[in-house]
Amino acid sequence: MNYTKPIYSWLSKYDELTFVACNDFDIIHQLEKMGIKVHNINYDIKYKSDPYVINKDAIFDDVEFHGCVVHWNCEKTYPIGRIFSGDLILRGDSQQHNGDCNPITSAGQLIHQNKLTEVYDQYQEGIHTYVHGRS
Amino acid sequence: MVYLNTLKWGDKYDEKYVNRLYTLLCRHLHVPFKLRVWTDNAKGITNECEIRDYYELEKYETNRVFTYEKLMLIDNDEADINGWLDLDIHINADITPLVDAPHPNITFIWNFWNSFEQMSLRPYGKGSSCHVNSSFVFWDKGVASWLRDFTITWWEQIEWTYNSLDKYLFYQHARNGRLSYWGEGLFSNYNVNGQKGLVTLFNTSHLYTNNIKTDKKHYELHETDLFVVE
Repeated sequence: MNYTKPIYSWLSKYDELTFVACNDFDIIHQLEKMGIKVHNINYDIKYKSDPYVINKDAIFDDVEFHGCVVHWNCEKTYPIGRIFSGDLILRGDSQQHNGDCNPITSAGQLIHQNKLTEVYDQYQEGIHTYVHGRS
Repeated sequence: MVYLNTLKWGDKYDEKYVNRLYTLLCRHLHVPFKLRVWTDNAKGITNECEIRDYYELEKYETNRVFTYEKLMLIDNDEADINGWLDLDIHINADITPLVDAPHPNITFIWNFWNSFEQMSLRPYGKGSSCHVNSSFVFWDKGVASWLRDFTITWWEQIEWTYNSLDKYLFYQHARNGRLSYWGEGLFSNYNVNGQKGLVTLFNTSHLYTNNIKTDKKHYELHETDLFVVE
């Protein structure tokens, strides 16, 4: 992990995190090594038998969120802030890949779509937009 | 009586597509049936078909979830056996065994002509996969209500997420094992494995809805010898 990036200081503030749609398992393992309890919800059926993955769709299925919810690919789903109230770390990209239903081009878009009532921090880095806030 | 439904709207497919489908059904379906054409323009369609208003199916104003309107055929004046057929299909042989069999659940086409591992499993997480096809679908009276109900309940999320009906069906319902499928070898995709089985599809709409550019020529039905039905 590159600890100089703001998102890692956001993540390390919490004792418990629920990741949504994150295919970067290295980050999750690093956070767990730091003593943070991490729940990993991912709808990709490739992880159906992976005991470390909750193989469900965070939007459509019955799932439980614990601690701060970290949505790693907001461009791929309905806004998580509309179904969850609490602290959120949101990351999305503007690439418009086939399969991206919601390309993210600005922090304002994430804030508005997820109905954030408070924004702690935000930044842009290349194609990615990051927002830390509360819905 | 079997109610068969087909949708014809806009100008992609003309009345010749409807009339040839009716002719093929008369030739290859040996149970009493009625073909209901849900259309915004009935000009030129044979009087043997029942004309219905396409806009009755347009429950939502949206340019997403391409052909979601098919789901509004469920619980909509159903017969004992109901089906919807896309216009751009060719019926090669007797489909009576498919139509006349019990359909305890709504039954779709699984894209056996493509490798599931390569085409759908590998890119699954990207949201770009689709292994379900809704060109030839049947259900018995009352058994598909769950799908219409789910769609209406979750419409806001569905509309946000999916650009086509087939992708919605694949990611939400195939994933959870809620759909039934026809057996392997019954359907072919002309643009992948040619004319085989009982029914051949052309399956070009996903190229438009996903804005996929490809060097390979994908044929529409009317560009092939199969279009003209004597």
